[in-house]
Amino acid sequence: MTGTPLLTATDLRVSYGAFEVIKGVSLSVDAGDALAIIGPNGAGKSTLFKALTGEISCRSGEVRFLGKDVTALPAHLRTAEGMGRTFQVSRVFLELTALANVIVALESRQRCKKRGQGRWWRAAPEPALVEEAGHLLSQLGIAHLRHEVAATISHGDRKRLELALALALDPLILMLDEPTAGMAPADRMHIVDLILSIRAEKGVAVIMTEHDMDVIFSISERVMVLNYGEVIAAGTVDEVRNSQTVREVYLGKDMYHAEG
Amino acid sequence: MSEASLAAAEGRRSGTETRLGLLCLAVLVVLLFLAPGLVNPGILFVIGMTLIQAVFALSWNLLFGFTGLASFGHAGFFAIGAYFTGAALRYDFHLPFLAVLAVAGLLGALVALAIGVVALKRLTGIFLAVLTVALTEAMAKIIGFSPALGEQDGLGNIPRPVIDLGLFRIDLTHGDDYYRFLVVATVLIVAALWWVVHSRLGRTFRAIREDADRARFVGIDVARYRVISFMISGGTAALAGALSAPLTRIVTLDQVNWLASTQPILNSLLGGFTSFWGPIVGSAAFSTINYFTRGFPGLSEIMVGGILVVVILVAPTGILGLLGKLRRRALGKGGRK
Amino acid sequence: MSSQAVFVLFNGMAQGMAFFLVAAGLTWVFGILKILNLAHGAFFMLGAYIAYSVGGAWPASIWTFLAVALVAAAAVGVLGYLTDVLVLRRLRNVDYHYALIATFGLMLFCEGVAKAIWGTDYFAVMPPPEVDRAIVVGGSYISVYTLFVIGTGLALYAALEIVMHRTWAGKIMRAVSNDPWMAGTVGINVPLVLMLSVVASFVLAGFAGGVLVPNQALSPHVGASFVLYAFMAVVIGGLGSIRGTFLACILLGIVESANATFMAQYGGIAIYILLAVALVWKPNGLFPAQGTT
Repeated sequence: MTGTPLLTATDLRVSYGAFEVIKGVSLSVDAGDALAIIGPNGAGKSTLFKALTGEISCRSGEVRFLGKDVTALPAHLRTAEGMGRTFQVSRVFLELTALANVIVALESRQRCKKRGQGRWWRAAPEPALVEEAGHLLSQLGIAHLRHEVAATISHGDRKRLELALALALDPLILMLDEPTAGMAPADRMHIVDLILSIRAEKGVAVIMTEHDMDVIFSISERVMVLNYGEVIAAGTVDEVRNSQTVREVYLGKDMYHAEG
Repeated sequence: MSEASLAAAEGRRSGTETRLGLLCLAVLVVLLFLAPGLVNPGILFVIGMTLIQAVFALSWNLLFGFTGLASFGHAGFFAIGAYFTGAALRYDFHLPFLAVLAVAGLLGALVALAIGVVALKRLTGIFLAVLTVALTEAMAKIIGFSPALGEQDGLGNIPRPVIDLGLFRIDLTHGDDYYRFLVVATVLIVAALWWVVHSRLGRTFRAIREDADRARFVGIDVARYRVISFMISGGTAALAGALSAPLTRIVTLDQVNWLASTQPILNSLLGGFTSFWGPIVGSAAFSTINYFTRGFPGLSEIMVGGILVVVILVAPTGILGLLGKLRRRALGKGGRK
Repeated sequence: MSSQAVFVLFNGMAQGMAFFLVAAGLTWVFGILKILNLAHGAFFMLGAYIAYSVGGAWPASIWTFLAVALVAAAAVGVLGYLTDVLVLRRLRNVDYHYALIATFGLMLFCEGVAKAIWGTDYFAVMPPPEVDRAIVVGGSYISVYTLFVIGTGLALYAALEIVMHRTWAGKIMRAVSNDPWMAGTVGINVPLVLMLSVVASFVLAGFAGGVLVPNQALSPHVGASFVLYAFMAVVIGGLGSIRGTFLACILLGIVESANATFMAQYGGIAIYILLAVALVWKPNGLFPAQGTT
């Protein structure tokens, strides 16, 4: 496995009708890496994300995961391969309890990994899975909500639950779409700590889009700047921070808004 | 709505309540079994049809309440089972009756699979609505052209079966005996569906109903599980139809029209589609209403259609949803004292 | 043989236009409300019954016939307003399944009302005297009333295209259909536009009922049999697209007519095969409207 990057995208192109939204983007993420994709609104961050996770199909280009071509693979199979994802507006199974949410994900993992289940005739979830789900919830600091229906829990806790869903499938890479969008600053730092501890503990790679510069700088080593569907800069945090083009296109305007 | 399915989602009821529920259920089954000695044959027939409607409604609600797909032509599946069983008994296919039932269910599931393949990528919403309606209408056309299936007049004089188990024979030719068989069959089917809904399969279905995209990103093959749900639903509906043929002893095109397709929808929504038991409660409630309003032209359509619209607009969680609300209110008051 | 082909094409066109008269209102209201009104056919049937009750079985002239159709259109329009206020308005912001189920219930309700008022007997209404004859074209007899139906269908299509793409009202409709919220912020009275669209679609249903009542025997089932073709046309044509629905209606009409001519013993089956083929081949319809799923 050494030498093979975890996830690569080569010359991805995505268009909506005649309008090309992603114009030949390439990227590469190694195991355990953290990459932030930034750019002004409408730069194509979300679309790039969708192309990487398999929600939409690309006009051309190639996505490889663990060296295997996954460009034509539907979303659920990419997830099974080890690509976890969260959404900008967190999405969980609203009418199920927090515990049931995670159990659904764990049962799906069993299926994906073709692990058999003991005593299939019993309707109730396996005790081992219930225990694991409880463990995951407490790891994310929401163990006290295990019997709450997801629709009734707060925005921040729902983000945590969504992370638990993604983690339940033992991902090799976590794709986080605006993980702290719409959260209070204190809460943001909690999520950052959480992501950092997950990385430290499980060695999961991270790709994220984010507006908040503090969040970006505390999580990722590398940054990629997207503008009008093109990569205008990529490199370490410092390199990008000092890039003149980036200052002009992006930081000049949006940085001001983000901090003001 | 979330409150009603809360209990259904996790079964977090207290032990005493569960035991009480099971006790009520047991009493109900015993009463149903003893019914031939307690009521007149007319009412017994109504109870039998209610059981069949309950299974039919449960099959529809597995799709709607637990997977988030609506079929508007479920009568098509019912008719597959009813006509197959009717023909098998009348023309004597030399198949044991239990095998006839199994084949009927299988046929329903296969037709559901075929529809699923046609609309695999789009087994949602309006496409499914139009395809299922079209299925029912096409079925009606085909039956109308088939002399063996009685064309417009229906397939009559269906004999009741005898189950030969080698060691002993169960003679169901008498109405009361067939009714008792029907009670047993209904209990078994309901138990099987209860298992489906509460097993990991059911949890997967529910996850898809809640948020199909999220389900994809926990690795669930949404299209595949939608088709599986559709097949179980279609198979069960066909089974309900199969059980109805020996009871009514005639199968007609009236079972393959819009009104027939609406019945399970209405019963599920009337009883409460968020609960597993809702369709059964709804079927019982509707049969009761229907029993007292029968015999006026057009009234059944006005009743079915009107109640459906009112339920959707006023009480989308149905009878059980309303009862749940009352119960919580009562408990809430008790707690404050 | 060629006269048979002419016959199939002509009959198919006539049936297609009859379907289109019903489907037009259906696709119109879907384009704007994104609700597939399963009760549309029932209101078409009510329009036919109203025309029968007002105009009788023997219309005096083509003008009284058209006037009666307009009365039916107006009456069904009023019913549409009531339906909108009582039912449809409450379904705008809920899951579309509820809208489908509620309009399905509404359809049954209307059928029941028709049975209660007019009974279950069949009625026949004659075409007006001017068009109640046949002419010979290429060796086969062609009913003038059928020509009249074709003409009405074509005129309706032309009118809808002009209203939708050439007029101020059409622009507003399209704005509301694309983004109701945005339309609201630029000063369009969105609830009024939605209400008028619903009423317009019901008016179309009632008018179709009045014009098509001599086309077949009148019974409470006439709505169900017609509306299924209309649904198919809307789905095959691309939900909400008037042009797609128009072409799909012609296609359905011709297939149905060929089926009836060449395989009469299995009449009415071919269109279901067409539906299946169309959905596999073009799942989004011939002319997919944007933003529909």
